[in-house]
Amino acid sequence: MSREEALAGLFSGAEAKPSALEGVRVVEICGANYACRIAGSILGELGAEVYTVPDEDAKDITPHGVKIGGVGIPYLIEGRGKREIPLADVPKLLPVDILIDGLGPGKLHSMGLGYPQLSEKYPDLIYVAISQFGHYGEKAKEYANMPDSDLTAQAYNGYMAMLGNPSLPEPYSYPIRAGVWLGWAFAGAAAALGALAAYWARLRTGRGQFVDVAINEVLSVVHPYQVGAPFVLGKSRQRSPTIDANLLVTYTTARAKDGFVALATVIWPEVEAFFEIIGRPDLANRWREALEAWEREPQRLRELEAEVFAEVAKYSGEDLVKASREKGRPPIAVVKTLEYVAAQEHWRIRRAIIQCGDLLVPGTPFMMSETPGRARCPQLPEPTARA
Amino acid sequence: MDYFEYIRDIIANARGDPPLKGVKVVEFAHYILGPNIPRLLAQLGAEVVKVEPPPRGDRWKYASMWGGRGFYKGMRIDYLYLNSNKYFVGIDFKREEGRRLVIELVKQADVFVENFEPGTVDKYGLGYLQLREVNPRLIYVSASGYGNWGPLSRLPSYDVIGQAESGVIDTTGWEDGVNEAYRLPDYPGDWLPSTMAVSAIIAALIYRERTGKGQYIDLSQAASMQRFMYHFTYMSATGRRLKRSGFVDPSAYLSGVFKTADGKFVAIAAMTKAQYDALASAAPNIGGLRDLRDPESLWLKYEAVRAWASTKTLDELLELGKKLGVPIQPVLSDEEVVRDPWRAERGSVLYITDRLYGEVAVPGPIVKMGGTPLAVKWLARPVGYHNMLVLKRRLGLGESEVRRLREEGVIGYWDGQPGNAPPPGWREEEDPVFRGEKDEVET
Repeated sequence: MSREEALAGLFSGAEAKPSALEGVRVVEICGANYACRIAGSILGELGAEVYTVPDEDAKDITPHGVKIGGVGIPYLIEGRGKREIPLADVPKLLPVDILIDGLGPGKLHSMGLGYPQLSEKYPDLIYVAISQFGHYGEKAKEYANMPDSDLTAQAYNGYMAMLGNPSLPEPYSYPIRAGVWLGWAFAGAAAALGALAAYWARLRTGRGQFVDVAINEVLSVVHPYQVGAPFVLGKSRQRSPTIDANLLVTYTTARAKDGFVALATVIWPEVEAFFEIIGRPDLANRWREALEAWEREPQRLRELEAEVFAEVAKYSGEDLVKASREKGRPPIAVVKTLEYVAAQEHWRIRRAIIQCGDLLVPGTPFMMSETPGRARCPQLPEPTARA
Repeated sequence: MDYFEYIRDIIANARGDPPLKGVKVVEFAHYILGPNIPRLLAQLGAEVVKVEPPPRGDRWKYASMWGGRGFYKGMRIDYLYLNSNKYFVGIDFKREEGRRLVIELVKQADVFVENFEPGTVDKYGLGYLQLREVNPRLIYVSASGYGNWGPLSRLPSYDVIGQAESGVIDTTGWEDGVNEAYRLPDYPGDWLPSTMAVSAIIAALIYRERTGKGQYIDLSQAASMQRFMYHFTYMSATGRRLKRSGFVDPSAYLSGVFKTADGKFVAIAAMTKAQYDALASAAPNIGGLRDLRDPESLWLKYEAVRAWASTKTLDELLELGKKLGVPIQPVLSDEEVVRDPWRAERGSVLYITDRLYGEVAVPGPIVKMGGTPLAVKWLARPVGYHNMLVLKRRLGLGESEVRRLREEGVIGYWDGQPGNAPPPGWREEEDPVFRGEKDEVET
């Protein structure tokens, strides 16, 4: 048996296997905060029993108003495997292992369900607060009544400042968003990680604790550039829709003859190999010189960049991919459309994307040999309604 | 006591052991995707040994950033952060004696993390199928573009390639008119999957506590991003693609990035009906349009608010957002992030004094915990820096044995190139940690 077959075999029979977090009870009270729902989903995919307090606003947050079975797409996806419980019944559900609070600082406290009250009664409770600015400090208090959103999270994390093309006409030149809920995804992943770290600590200490997640900071503490760049450069970076704003080389997307390609030149030998592939090995030295002069004469890199992209546009995407494989580097890929990705067998057999009747839904990234992540189909309250 | 004060107190007075104290991790990884997993585990208190082949090790340390300005006292700033709180050993695992040293580390370890191209580490006897025989309790993580099995598993990857293959590039940017493809900047194809992997690892530790069983975690960066792509569901439900929409969140009632009267960029997102109605009470010309959520109407509403927002200063808009209960926040620049008093107060941007590199601004811990403080204690070190410390304390070797291994080239050290050197002026004889006499932080 080959290595790959042996590894694939480790993941067979997923449905019959146990889950890592069996017996862990979670309740999420999220309102319209999807970072909170994502946190609950991650724990649920890892096998926790998750209760969710339904929310009409959350059900209504959906691309272009599209509903399936009466609820929006994000609600449908993040509601999988969760049991609904009205807020009024939450006290009856307690004690749970983990409570995730996404309502904003002080809200549950004012209902008698805050950490000060609950920890008194249930000292082993893990209470995960997930909000824009956290649950303490002046700013948290000042913004307590402003709800969160993914867009504002991408903005306040300094992420959008690096995305988009400033040379387009207004307003297309403004900072743009990552097309997925990146701010909410990072914050949800951080909350799940914090909850589980606290659960692990509790196995040793017997005590629960309070975990505070600020949606507006997670992305910028995980990514090191928003802090590192001004620390060493003494200034902010500028948006660069073409070459990578950190590496200042062709680590980027580019227009080929027949569509877009992604070029991954990171270290210098990859840059050189790439220039050879496009038939312009002479560019390597010029690029190196332009890099050295980058701060004094930034336009030199921009001129070279234009020259390089003009060369790339002469080749088809597949030809560039083929040449990179023959050469062994750098990695180059055709930028795939959503339609193309949706049809690929690879993601289906790995349960990254799953088919549920007519619907395609994201599966789970938690490919674990003993305790596979749960990739569930949504429960539809009524037959799939096309919007 | 005021709720905010109460929470501040429990965070400020957190005194317990870090949550993952005692968890041992061996990192066999390079670039970002692999090393960020142990970085976060170490932030949570795990003990991480990063194994690198001397003298170069993890290649990411040599990448030039900002025209060579990215190096700080000989090491790249983001590499210093990404590899904080770790112990660095330089072992030539291609030699049998070196491989045996790695195996000894693995026998004691709870978690092993690698992110080489699928099959690479197996050649050195360090694949999952081999190491589970040595340590059946091991939680072994392979991180790669597409996973270690399946039709795409042999494709090479980097963040931007994973972005291209996952479809996420096709979700970002504009459509109809502006035909450009943007990479999501700063490598989220590495940072997001690695952050998610930490939950899987702790869950696997919890499972092992019940059963004694280790396991294999096969992390795909593309699949991790696909987890958040509701686009597939939209497409299958409507028969249409979910178009790219620039700064507009298609799930909102009204959203976008606006330029204020004082020239700042600000994001506004009315996610709910109530938020929209509140905004419409202040912004003219959008009443009655609320429930139109098709792409054209979202743009129409954006344009209407754009004219109004351009007459307001950022401060005026933030005040309105607070008063009306509408999400409104500025698009911060790097400098604004670093100078943000809120981040300073929370310890999200903090100045630490590293024993070798002195005072450095670092991104703080990913979450704040009330019972167990998390910390960035020290920054990255060059290849092999902790050889003596780790081989003595962890493997119980004597100093003369470590010297023999060094002389025979089984273990080794940095090459002194930019990105792989101690700070200028560093002297071996003045450094008790390098000599294995003291830990980085003695407890």
